[in-house]
Amino acid sequence: MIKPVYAAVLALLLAALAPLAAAADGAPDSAGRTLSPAALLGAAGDGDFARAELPYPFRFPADHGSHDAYRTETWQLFGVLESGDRGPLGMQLSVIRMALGDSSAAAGWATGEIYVALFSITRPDGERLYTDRRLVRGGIGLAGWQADPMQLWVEDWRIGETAGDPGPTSLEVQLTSGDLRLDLQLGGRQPPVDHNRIRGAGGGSSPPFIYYVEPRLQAAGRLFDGTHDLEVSGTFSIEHAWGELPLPGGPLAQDRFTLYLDDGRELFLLRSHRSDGDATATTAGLLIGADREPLLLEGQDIELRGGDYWDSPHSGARYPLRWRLRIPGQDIDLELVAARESAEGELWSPFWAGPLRLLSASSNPAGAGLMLLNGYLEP
Amino acid sequence: MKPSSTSTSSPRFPAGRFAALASVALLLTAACNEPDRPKVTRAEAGPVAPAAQRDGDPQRGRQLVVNGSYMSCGLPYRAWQRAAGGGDPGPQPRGREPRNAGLPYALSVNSNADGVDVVAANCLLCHAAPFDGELVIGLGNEALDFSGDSRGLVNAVGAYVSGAAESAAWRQWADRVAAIAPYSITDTIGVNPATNITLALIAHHDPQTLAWSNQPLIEPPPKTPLPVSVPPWWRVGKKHAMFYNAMGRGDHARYMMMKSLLCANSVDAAESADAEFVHVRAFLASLQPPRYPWPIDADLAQRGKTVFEQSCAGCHGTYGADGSYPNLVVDLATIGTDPAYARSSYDAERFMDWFNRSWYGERASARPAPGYIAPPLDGVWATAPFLHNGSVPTIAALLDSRTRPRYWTRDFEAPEFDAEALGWKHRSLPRGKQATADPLERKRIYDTTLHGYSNAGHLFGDALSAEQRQALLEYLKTL
Repeated sequence: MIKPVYAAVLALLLAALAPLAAAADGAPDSAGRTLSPAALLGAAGDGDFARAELPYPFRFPADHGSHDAYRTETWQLFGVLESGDRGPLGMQLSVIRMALGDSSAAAGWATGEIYVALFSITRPDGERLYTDRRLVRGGIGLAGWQADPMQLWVEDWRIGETAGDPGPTSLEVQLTSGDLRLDLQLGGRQPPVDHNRIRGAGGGSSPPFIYYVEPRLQAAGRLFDGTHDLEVSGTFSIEHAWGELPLPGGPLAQDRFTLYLDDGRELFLLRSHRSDGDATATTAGLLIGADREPLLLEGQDIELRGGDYWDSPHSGARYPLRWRLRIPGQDIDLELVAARESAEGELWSPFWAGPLRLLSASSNPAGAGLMLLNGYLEP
Repeated sequence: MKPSSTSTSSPRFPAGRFAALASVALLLTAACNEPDRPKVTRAEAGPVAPAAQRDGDPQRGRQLVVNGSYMSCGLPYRAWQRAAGGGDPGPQPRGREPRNAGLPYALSVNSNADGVDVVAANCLLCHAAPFDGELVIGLGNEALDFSGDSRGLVNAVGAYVSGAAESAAWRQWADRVAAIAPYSITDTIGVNPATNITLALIAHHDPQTLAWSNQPLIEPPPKTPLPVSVPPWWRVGKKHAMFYNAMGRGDHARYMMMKSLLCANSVDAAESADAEFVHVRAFLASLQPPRYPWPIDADLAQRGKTVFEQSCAGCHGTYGADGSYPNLVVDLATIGTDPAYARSSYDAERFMDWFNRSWYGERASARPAPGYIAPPLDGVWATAPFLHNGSVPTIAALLDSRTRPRYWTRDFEAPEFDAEALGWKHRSLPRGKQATADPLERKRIYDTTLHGYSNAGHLFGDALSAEQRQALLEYLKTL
């Protein structure tokens, strides 16, 4: 008798790939290159890759880096920034490493892996979501990871520890895209909440991947969008997973919620729904207590219903921008309200990503969050 | 080996994580019902008349059972492998085909009509279990966890699906699971929701054409399943009717194949499955219970046989070369056990009507009786927990109602056999599910105060002396 709890953790990771998963084929990227998600899927190798097993002997900082023996890997940043009177801004950065063949493949131009990076942030002027992506070959210096100080980069996008930081207690995030430039410092790092600690996540079954999260990092820095030069601050989380991760081209789309509750808890929710609009959506969750104790939440523990739809004038997609969230077993009863309507972007296919306001049952502020919605085009 | 410390631990395969697939395998305990309409007939308590069964090849039936080759739908195998594959598949029954290599015994892979390899649970998910280190085909698995929502697992695997053909296969499976999942979530680990699963499937099929509808065509069953203990398959050869309330009259293969409702959407497909299930029935009817693996006190057992023949044989039959089994339904007032399961059939006329009007009803009929059939007791020592709802953890407690725990729990991962009491080692609790706020703990508590979970009734052992009960327990080891 073992519970399928790993599935809930699995679900948490899907959103990083969601802009791919819901994508249609053939749209060119910002550099004019045509790339279909189906091609990406085909690129994922069928070689002899390592299989995840729990308990996993985590070793940090080495495990912040890449795990080339595994087929796929993701690093994800989700967070909410405040910028004075311009309201909250939501940001996501996902870096995906995919092996193209056997992990013993050659180096350099013959390397066996590619990196995909996806970025979106709310525009301070309230117009559509700012999005960009990178797709590069690994092994030739355009993307990769180094150990000391830890650096993960995809072209000119970079996440890394600060040289000389003895903790290391903080991370730097640097992104440029056209006229946009973002420099963030993510502080308050503590030992990650790792897969072994997530209650029930082992359960005797073989999980498809290994996972950890660094929750509730304090962000501070500057955002320049070509017009505004803003001082920003906020809350972020970083998730890292490696193993067998979902790839694009399937029948599902995912909505993801990253919620920072004022009582110190952090909640990740992932709602999976069919892109053809039929049948039942399911929601899985990971709740991290104020004491950093993680708890998996299963579908029947969570009530999540959307409403207040907004029709995009650009894509025709219809997004639910107000949600009722109830988790009776955890004393959670919240309204999740989009801080702004116009937060649609496109990375191969349209999606909505923006900041949330959390309201208690008595309509008092209860926290902040980030919401990503995918798969809302009419089938 | 000291039996009291024997681990009968579950195999390595994570049974609970297959809950979605599992839905599939449980349907050998289908249910249906009647009242007002004359075309549906209620049965009476008392002896059940025999019904002719079609001949089949037990060996072929065994091959079908261990390989699950009757399932034409399921989760795309490639996606399953990526999401949940790997690891030790655990024990494998003899005769597993190479295509199933690497899969736990309860899963099988087949190609669907579009050539997509799909994986689904087979009958053995519920109808095989480890005992004393051996996988026993036909022993009900009483450690499965149906307390979760299987749609979550289907969607988790769905995230690994790609391409049009795989997506279509996944959608078919997801539709089926979406239809049955709301009716198959138990509040206790170890009890089985098979009846509700079958009824939910019936609600989505046209009785004449067997065509599938994503919307229910008749009102689905109540959402909360009544608990059922999985009966051992080796009783099939003796019983004239299937199910605890003996409602499965006529051709047994037609009931056994009702799991094909998951995949078969036409009479032609059902007839193909029917041709296979005559062999499955023949295999089930050929099964014999395992032998008690530890020493038996022959003298004590002989004294117990006398007690049995005086106190038990009238309902449960006699054993040995000249044994006989009366196929007797005992009315609810006499047996006194939880009536909810038997009564539920009377509250579900639409399902009885569906069955009797359908292709399934051509060879079989649904005729629920107002009571429970006294089962054959071959191998009963291995079949804990007891009563139709699994509410009593040991035979010793069954024979002395004063010792039955009101609230109890046990080790589901590595259950220990209690050779003294014949059943599961368990722990009595002072309070029920409401006493703990931990949802995981709540699921592990069997609470006999809940609807359908009562451990009342079958008080026939209370009048026996302690010595008589001890002798009776020893005799039951010989069956």
